[in-house]
Amino acid sequence: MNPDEKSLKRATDIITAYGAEQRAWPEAERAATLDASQSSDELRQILREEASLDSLLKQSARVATIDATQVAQQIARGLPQQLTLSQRLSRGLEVVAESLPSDVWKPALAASLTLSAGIAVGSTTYEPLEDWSQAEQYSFAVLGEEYSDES
Amino acid sequence: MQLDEPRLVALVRKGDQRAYSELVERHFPAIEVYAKRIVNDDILAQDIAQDVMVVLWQRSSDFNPNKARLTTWLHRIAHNRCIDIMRKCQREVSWDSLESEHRLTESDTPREQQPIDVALMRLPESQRTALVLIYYQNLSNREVAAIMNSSVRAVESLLVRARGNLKKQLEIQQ
Repeated sequence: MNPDEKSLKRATDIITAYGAEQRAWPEAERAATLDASQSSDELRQILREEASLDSLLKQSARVATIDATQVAQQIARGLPQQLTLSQRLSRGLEVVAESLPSDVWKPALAASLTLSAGIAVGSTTYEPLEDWSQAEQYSFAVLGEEYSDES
Repeated sequence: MQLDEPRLVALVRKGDQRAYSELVERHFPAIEVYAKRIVNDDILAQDIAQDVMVVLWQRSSDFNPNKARLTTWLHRIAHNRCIDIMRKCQREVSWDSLESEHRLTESDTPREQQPIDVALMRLPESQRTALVLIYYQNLSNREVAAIMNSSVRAVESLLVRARGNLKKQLEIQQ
């Protein structure tokens, strides 16, 4: 397939997929598709067919009927936001910062952030390396074995 | 002056109700109409669109403006909701009825629906979704592929089949 045939084939694919309206064609291929469509009778015929379908697609009668402002108010007033731990901490700190004089809140904020980060990291990443709940039993077992050997 | 969407989403994360209202006013109508075209039930579509807006309010931190436009993210949520609901309700019209040379007539057309809306509803769900997202929702092929969890090539194939099926139904000369 030579380059002309290839571009004609791609232009046909684009028009049969996206229709006759240039706005629907992939942006990067729009100019090439337009050029190809102007140079081929066959493509011009395909464009006419797709334009007929496009004009029917425009007749769709679906419209939005709900008041978006009312929806927004109902949701925002009625439902709590689901915040992550860091978002909750950050909001809490914002409230505290607003209520403190500026020479106090900056060091306090730095200290709280460090503390919060430490708690968050510690509580989420801590994993005991061994099961120490059994340690006492091990100790007794060792002693017991030694004792029984002696007897 | 209009704030850009990533900035508005950042404000929504802080609980700003005005920023949230602004985003809902921009996106709710498009999502509602999209859902109507996919599930063919106004009440269900309105529920889906409201669910999507609840996600925007409650979980806006899940949206990453570096990865997608807000409209793509919202359409993806709406698409998943539509699929869930259609599977639950088994509302999809079987394509088989068209295979048996059935053609649309005025008497087939439900009240207040255009023949094109009826023809769209007779498309398989994936073909309808691809066509609606490209033609009516003005999304790019890459965005549609991301929403449908598919490739651009697969989306184009769905579009060709969708348009071919519509032409067959609506008796456009091929």
